[in-house]
Amino acid sequence: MLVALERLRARRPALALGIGSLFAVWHACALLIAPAPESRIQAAVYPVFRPYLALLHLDAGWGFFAPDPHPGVRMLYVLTDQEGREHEVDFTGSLERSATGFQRYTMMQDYLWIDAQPYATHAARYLCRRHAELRPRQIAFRFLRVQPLTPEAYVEGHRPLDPEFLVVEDHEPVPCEP
Amino acid sequence: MRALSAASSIWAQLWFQSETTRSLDIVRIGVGLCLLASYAGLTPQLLELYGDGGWVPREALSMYLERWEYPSLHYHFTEDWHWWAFHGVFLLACLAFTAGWQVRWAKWVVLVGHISYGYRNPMITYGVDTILASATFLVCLAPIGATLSLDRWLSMRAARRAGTPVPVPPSSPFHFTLRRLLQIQIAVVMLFSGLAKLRGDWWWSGDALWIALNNYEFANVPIGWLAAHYELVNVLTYGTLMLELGFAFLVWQRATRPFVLAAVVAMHVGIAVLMGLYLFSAAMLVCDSAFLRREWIDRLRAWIGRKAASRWRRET
Repeated sequence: MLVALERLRARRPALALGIGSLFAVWHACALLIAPAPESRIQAAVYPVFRPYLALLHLDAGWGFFAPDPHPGVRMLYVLTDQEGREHEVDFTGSLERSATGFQRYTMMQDYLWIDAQPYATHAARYLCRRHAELRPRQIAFRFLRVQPLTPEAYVEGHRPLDPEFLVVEDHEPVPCEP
Repeated sequence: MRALSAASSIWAQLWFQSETTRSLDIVRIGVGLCLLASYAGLTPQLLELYGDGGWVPREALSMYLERWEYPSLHYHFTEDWHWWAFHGVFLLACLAFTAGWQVRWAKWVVLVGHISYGYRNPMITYGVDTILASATFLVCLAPIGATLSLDRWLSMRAARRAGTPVPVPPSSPFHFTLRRLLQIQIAVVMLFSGLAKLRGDWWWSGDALWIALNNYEFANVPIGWLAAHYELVNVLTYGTLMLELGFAFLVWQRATRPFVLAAVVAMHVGIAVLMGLYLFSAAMLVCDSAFLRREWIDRLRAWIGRKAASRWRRET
């Protein structure tokens, strides 16, 4: 792309620099508009840039650990088999920290916890298939929400995943497909 | 007229300084390594994470499928081998992109592939993917591979064998435009990341780092030493906040840039070690390299050359 612009510069330098300037201003504005807070001006301008930002996967808010980092959550799921027995699987505990996909899987569990739909039902059905040998009838996600731990409690030997610091949140069960 | 000429000169200085693709090629190598590490590592879970029988089947993506703006080649795959073939081609393209071999073609495969993966499973896509997409897009627009590449080495060897002059890498003011846009991207990331944190209570109270490190996902190292010296948590929390807010204003000045970049390197190394976010830290550091001044790279190159020459002399 720049090769064509460079060729044009050899013949019509002003035009080439004009096109280069237009692109630079457009792209820089797009980068600024993507994370801009909601306002009247943002609402007016954002739709113009949205297709460009979405097409190039640039539409991000950049709020790393913001407004606040969360103390964490541990995801389990409970499979209920045809006989009514429950099988609890510790999803978070089964992840290998050294694996490349570790952050992606923890992202996924956070997603299922905070913003479950539209993915939770599909994710549950995938897990039903994965554990087909248990002949599951339904599956329910269980999230153990970690409460903030003070440094004093840490020094005393407590840890974030100790039961007294966990609040259990059970999500609605999803029936497994026959 | 004089004012117009001055404005034009400032504009050219801001956007159009002639340079080779060397800075962009440094970013290319770094981005290529990050993409390779990320996607090659996901190979065993390819169908689980991106396939129709996995966590996110196609019907879960109705919002994405309905809009042409969210493109993914994966939406058109129907058989398992489609995923495997695409993944294989994509990894080879990443390898070629990194090594600088046939970059003219490989770079577009890398860009389209990376965006396709991102939209196929939005649940596992995060900031690092957007940063890498941004950097990949900008380097793709340039004729990268003209320096620091296998293509360059092959053309130099061919020229030497033919007894013709070694081709000089082309310079263009537009290479700098792209580098400038990458610099702006990083400044925007840092600034908005800092501004968003200002709304958080834990950032104000200086506890944010402690909370983040207590999170199982980021608890990469034992933190008893931080609990025992909690004032360090406050210092690091406020330091992160100040660096993120100040970066966009201080990185452009000649006098402050080295210090700001050194602080950013320290922050990202810290994030990698303490929180285990290796890929994120690497991607950010790669993009930060767009701020390296040409004379710094020249000096580094000369130093490496001297070291290599003295070692060669010693050995022979």
